[in-house]
Amino acid sequence: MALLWWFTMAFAGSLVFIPSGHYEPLIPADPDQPITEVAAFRLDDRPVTAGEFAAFVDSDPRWSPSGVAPLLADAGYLEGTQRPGEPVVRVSWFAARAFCAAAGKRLPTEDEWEYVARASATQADASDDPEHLQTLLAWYGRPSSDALPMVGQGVANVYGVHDLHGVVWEWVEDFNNTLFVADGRQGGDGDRLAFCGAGAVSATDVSDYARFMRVAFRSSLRGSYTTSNLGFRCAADAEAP
Amino acid sequence: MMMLLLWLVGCGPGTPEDPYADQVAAALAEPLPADSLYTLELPLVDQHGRPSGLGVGRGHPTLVSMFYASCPTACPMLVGEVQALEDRLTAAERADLRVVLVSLDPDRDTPAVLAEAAERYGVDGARWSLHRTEDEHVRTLSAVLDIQYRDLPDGEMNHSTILTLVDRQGRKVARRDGLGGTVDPLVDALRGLP
Repeated sequence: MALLWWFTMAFAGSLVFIPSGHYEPLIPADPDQPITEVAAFRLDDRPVTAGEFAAFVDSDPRWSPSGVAPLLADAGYLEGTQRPGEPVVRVSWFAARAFCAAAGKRLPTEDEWEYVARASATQADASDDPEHLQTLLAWYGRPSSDALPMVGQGVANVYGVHDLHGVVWEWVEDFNNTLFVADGRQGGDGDRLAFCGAGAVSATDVSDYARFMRVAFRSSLRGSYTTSNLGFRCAADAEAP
Repeated sequence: MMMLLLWLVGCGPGTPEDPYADQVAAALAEPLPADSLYTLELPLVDQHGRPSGLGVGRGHPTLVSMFYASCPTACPMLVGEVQALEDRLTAAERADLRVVLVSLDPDRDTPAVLAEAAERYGVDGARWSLHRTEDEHVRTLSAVLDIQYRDLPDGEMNHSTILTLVDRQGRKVARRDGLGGTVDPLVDALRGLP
């Protein structure tokens, strides 16, 4: 089993180097200093496939549907059958994280993921390109009942990364970093009381509606959730120079 | 000898001093259920620098939450509300309850800082424990407890306050989101526990 796992990972998505840079998160931690530095790192060039995830589960029964702890994955975990080359879906955040750890990688942070997701095939930052944004938005409007495409078929962005858009939503390490949740019974005061710090949610750029949808989607997740359109890819720190 | 025997027998069923002794012993004798928080691999260190774990209060009903020691407002309020909850319990119920707090800020919350916070909050050190763990485990526990958080550039943190009650085996039974709301459901859930 371990050998199969090794063999599968040898052909899994390969890490692409992403140079450091700045970007403006949709919801910055500090609205007065929205520009956020992203250190150089590496990101898988495509999402993890169902075949790769199946090999992982074979190698570690703690992550099989019958073996997984109920706290770590809901009842829909790995439900249904998938073709090996499709992006794996119906995986919880805990399971995605365990897969990446087993592969010697980690999940990307939200900043890292969004930083790379600004890129089009020709620009590192296409977030001001209306045509590009419209292309992305078209995917979010597509019915989710369509069969999932195979990974790696979408056009690569300038970094050589495929499928950040147009295939599945993806888990990030800090999916639970955004405090949209308010105690509605108490209005504004409730919000202030519920959180340490002064963090009010204020978006910097609402024209990028696809981005707004991703942030809203993530904030609705819990670590054990699984859905039919939520997968993941792995990342790693940049190698020491 | 007879006195000793009587004393030992007296310990069998719950004593006036510890009416919950039977339940505690029964919980410790059973294997952990699959949905217990205590099945998670989450190595902690407590405010005395001792290795610990979420299941430090296993056998007792336990309130679990996350905080950080330098938090100016929400965390002292959270602690105050748990203490107010404790004041509503009978002495025996209170003696049976445990409180486990895990820091969101492992960089700064060393055991010494946690010990200082415990003293500042005036908590009962026999039943309350404050812990730190590594970053990756902080994120894991936050996901298990549905707590949202992130670091702010000024060194503070944004985090939601969720207080979770787990039973004697570490299974979630009730929770309270936010601050300032009623803790009645937690008290009711606590009293409804076997």
